[in-house]
Amino acid sequence: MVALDRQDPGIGRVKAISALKGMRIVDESGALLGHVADIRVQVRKARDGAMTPHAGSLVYGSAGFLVRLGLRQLDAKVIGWDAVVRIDGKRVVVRTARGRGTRKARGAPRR
Amino acid sequence: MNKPLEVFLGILTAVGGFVEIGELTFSLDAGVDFGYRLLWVSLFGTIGIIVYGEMAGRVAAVRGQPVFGVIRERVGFGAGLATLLAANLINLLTCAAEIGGVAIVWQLLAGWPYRALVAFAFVFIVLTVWLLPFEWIERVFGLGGLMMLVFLVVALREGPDWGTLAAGLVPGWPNDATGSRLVLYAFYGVALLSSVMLPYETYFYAAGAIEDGWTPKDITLNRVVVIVGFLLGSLLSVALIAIGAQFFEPRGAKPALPGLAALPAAREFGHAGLLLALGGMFFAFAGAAIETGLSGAYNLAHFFGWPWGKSRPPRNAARFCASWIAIFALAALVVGSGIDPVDVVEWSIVLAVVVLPLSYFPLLVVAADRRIMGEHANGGLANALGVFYLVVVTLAALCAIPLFALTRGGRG
Amino acid sequence: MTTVTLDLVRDVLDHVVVDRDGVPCGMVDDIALDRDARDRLVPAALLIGPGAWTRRLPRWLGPLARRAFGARVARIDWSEVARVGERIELRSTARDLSLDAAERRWSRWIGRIPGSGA
Repeated sequence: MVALDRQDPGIGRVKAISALKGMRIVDESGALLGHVADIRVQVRKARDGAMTPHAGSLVYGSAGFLVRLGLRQLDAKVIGWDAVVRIDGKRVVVRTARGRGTRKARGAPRR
Repeated sequence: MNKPLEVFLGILTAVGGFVEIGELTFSLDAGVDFGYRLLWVSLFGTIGIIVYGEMAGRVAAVRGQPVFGVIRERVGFGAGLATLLAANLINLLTCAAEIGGVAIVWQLLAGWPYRALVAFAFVFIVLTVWLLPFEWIERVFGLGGLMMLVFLVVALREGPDWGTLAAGLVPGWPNDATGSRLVLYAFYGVALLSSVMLPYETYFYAAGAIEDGWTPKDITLNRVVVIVGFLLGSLLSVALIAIGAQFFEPRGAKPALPGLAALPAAREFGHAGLLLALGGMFFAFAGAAIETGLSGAYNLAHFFGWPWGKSRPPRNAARFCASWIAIFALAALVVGSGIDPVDVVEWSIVLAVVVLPLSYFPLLVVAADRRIMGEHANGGLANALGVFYLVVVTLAALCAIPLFALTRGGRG
Repeated sequence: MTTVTLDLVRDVLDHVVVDRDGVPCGMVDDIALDRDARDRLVPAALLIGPGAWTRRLPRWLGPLARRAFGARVARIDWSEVARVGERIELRSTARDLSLDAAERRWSRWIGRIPGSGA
């Protein structure tokens, strides 16, 4: 991971998921990509039952009214944490590779 | 208990518990002012409550979890909280109206002062809920409400004009459709619909399913009890409309107090008829008061994740207990504060309509969600009916307050 | 060692939390996030209590709500989580994790009434 500058990328300032949820996701030019819908984590379960979560990705998509009501399925897209440049204020700034869109999300496996 | 007996008792309980004071009041008034013309609304609303009652019971049976917790999970904290506040506001007002109804019935029987009887009703209700196990409460008040079948017998004996009655089952406008008559008709339609579709009947029913330990295997049983029980129960509402039309309208009298609905029973069957009518009303109103109060407590406990249930000793579900005690106390204060109890009834029904869509929408979303319900999610029919009734109650909600204002509270 | 994928908002937030004995001890009112070595956010703990959910109310309502319901937050470390399913199951009892403070307080009052049982 290469930090573009040594300044605090602001990620540490997000203390709880309620703050992150709904934040706007923009690319480096400021164009809106969507809103944060979820944080996806990989959880490793040891034999004794202990669970350790490891970072996975950000799930985002349109935050339309109908989606929030649950009437329309979120067209969920996923972006890895490595692409996050910084979080300032109410925005998550991500780096999008030119010509390569972000992956479409598959639903998490049914428990 | 064996299954057929359980189904039978479940149906009887649903029948006896179907009528509460709002429905009784508006059914009678509808019969007096419009004869049988509003019968279809009663049946229309019954189908609506069947649709949502079945959904609620199914969610509880499949998830083994109370509905309000699942609602919060699905629509999130903000929307869930709004639904909680809406549903509990209706619960509180309805509870107040029912406690007022109990006091009125007792006043007709014993002649004691009304406010003292409100306090007495509060004590009686709290003691009953504190001491009796859940199943006993269900059975006693549900089966006791069956005494109101005397109204069905009275309606049949008076000999309704079957032609006009049948015509009333078809949706339509009243014959003398002048402006103010139409507005009054619409108001009664909306109020009658609301009284039949009060949300506590679904959320309490679902909580009861968990108290009774239902599993996905019980879903079919659930459907049978809901459909048959509520349909048969609606016959009581029909009977009340008929009594309004046959007994009160020709005499140019409108029962000012719900308790006066007992008069026709007294005329037909004398003292016994009077006691059956008043007794049935007592059990119906007291039962509804208990259900709305408990429903409020269930909703709070489920939304905030508290230990809950009548099956737990009060000490182990302390906030839940404190909640229903507080709700009964607040309700008693509202109706005993000097406000005319009949006004409380009206307001409870009108405000119920306004928040009805908000209370039902999340239930539909949850029951239709395949991720939550798996293979037991709503089928095409349940979804279609659910959406249809949601649209209907939303329209009713938009009209309710204007209609209330235009008709000056149904006084025309 | 198995690996499971979890969506925190969909699968954890606003779900009911039960302890080892199956007793409900609150809802997941928020999830505390930590920053790992590679600047990614991972869940650190479940946050349960009025201090947590009042912060999800509209900004003007929060302080009022906290005055009415308190600002208590219980922080349940992720290592305490036994299972994430329809309910979030914990490895200890509510008592061990001090999740039952409010319920115990009310229980003292209710317990004074005869017939409050067990």
